Amino acid sequence: MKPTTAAVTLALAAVAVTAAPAARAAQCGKPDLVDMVPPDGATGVPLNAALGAHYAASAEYLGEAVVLVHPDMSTESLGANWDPTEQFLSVTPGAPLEPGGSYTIMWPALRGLNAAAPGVGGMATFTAGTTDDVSPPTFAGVQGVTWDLERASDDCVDGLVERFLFDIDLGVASDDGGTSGLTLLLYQTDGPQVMGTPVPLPGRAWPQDSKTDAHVQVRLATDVAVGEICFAGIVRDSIGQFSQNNNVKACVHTTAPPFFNGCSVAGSGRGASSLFASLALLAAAMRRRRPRARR
Amino acid sequence: MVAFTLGVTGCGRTGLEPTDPPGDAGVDRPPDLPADRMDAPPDLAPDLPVEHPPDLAPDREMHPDVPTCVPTAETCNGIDDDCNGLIDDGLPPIPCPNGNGYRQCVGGAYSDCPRRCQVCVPGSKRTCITSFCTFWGNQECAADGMSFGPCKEAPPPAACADVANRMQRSADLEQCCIDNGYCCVDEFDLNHNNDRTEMLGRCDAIVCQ
Repeated sequence: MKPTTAAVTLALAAVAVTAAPAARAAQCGKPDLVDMVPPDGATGVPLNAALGAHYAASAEYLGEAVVLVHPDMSTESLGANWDPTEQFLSVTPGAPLEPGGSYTIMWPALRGLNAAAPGVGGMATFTAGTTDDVSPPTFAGVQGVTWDLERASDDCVDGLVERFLFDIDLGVASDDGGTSGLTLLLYQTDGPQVMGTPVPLPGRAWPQDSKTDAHVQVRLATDVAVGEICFAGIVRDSIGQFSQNNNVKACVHTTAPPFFNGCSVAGSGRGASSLFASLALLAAAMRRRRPRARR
Repeated sequence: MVAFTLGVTGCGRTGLEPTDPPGDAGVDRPPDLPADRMDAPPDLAPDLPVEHPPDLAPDREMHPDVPTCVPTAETCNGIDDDCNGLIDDGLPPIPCPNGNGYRQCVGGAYSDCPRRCQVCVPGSKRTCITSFCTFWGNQECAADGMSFGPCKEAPPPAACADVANRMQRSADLEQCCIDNGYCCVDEFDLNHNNDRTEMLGRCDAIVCQ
């Protein structure tokens, strides 16, 4: 299929109208595109790379076309593979990418299981590298995690929902195809409902916003995230190879809400009398605790 | 002054509900007992020897010629079974049924197969039985698929209106819900498996698969 340049331009414009950042994906049940692998603006994409996109959990693939625009502006409609568990739509170009060529891929807007209107698709422009992706990726694993509690308005339940928000520091990941083709697969390895079998979290494109200290945020419902919570992860490259099994875990101990979220170090009292009173109150509190321990 | 006191004492994030603390928070302990004797009475002498099982590290250190690793086949257990310095290495992912992803060896165990969502498909609705007025309601799944919202009252469908009127909140009403093609919370344990939080009926578009 080789439509005219004008037709391609129209197609690109149509996608551009429907494309939107991931922030809009938060609307209730909308099957929007979440991220793309490789992302928009990627360079050095391996010549044998498969291309993919993650969608929201409600998305359903019904054979919509994925269109690849080649450097000569010709288009190729690609048959796509749909993984309904990862919500990952992937395609493999009919021929290897041209070294150094600039490509555009248009990801379709998908229908949702519970939404009448289609979601939001996406478009990414990327530049091919000069070599194939051959070796599996490496990943140093998750390096640390902090937590907080988030109360956010939810469009579906029309009220507030509580979620534990985990900020996870990622170790270094590398691949001969570059990090733009990596997908991060995180697992909750410890928690009240894990029962010894790590629970997969939604796969996502490797974060590209920082080259030195990559991190991601993970949200979990309160009933699965109180107590000792641990995460581990691996990465997958653009040809589907996984990093080595990773035993590195990052853990944190969370507390069930409601809780008192700390005091500031800065005091508002004045002078030595305030300090004296503070120490007196502290001493009184300590005296009250001792008999409890001797019971 | 009280405000200043709160400031200088520096509180952390503290649960307000009574919970089992993971460690020793809020419990005074004798300061000079070893960690493994913290359950001892507080008047116990602090310098008694501590007995270790014979396979603990201190004994191994006394016999450096004893091999520390006996090679066996590597399994997914968080241990370097084959003594090559790598933990759980070389273990292939296990394909999941129907080609839906893989089980990966992470954190010393093989993972579950991936699922579309954690609890429910975002935006989906299930039917719940209320205890007042119409005795019928809906619960919508949150936008992130991690929980259901509250049960919101709604008029029952015509097919179940009579049952709701006569039997009110009852197993009969739940059965009517299932029989008429809804996805219903099994509050009356109609399948007798002691799980009153599961869903029965036509739930394909709601459950995470």
